[in-house]
Amino acid sequence: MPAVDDQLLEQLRTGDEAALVELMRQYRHPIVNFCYRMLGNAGDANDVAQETFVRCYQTRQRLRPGAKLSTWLFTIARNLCLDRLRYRNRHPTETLESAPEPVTISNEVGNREIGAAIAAAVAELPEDQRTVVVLAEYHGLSYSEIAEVMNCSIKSVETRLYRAKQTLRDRLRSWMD
Amino acid sequence: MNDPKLNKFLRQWRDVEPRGNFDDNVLRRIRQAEAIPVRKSWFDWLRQPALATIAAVVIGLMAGTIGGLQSAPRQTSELEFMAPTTLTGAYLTMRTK
Repeated sequence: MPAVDDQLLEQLRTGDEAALVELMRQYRHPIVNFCYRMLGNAGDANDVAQETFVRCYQTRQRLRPGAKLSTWLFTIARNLCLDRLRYRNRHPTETLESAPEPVTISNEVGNREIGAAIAAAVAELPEDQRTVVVLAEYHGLSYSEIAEVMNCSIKSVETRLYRAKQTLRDRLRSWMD
Repeated sequence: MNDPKLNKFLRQWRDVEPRGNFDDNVLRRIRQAEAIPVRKSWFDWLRQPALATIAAVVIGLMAGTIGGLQSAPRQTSELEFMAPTTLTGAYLTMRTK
């Protein structure tokens, strides 16, 4: 995870758009991919990730010196992903285009098929377990950082990660062997 | 649970690339949001000192009026002595039957 110095944070707090552009340069890739793995759809992921930076800029005054921007961004992104998932549940017919991309698994084992199998297995996890797995495995966040993003205890993070990995191992066993 | 085999396998789920116009879209959305005038709620209106004072005076007057009305002694009607529960009322009822 790229380190963001206090100077950038201070510039952002003053409303400097150049600081926002620099922030996006550093974080747009991880935030888009976090959203992608939470939502299972690249189009929605880009949309929600863009909204994450908009909210970040709009609420910049709440940032305290010394705050960790990465956890703050992931917190905003997670909340927006939850909103999007709730919207999908409430409007199933309106969100067909933004639903998780269909997973087609052929007999030919390639990266694409493996990726699709992992995506399907992760998508079936409960949201809290999915968040923990994605942040831990794909973004390298520590347990304490994940706990901060999810507003829960470190013990709870450990439990969720344990359960998620158990489930994933069972579901992906045939692919890993 | 540290499972290197599973961890390695999970890493095969490839990243996606952000769209080319990502930054422009974010800046455009921010400008659009800033261009929309923020709607004031009732609470925001009440935060203005003059309006808050007027609202407090009106609420105070209403409360005083309602409280005064409720605590004022009940005026008895001039014809209350003819109510059915009184001796006169009972007599009148008997007479009309």
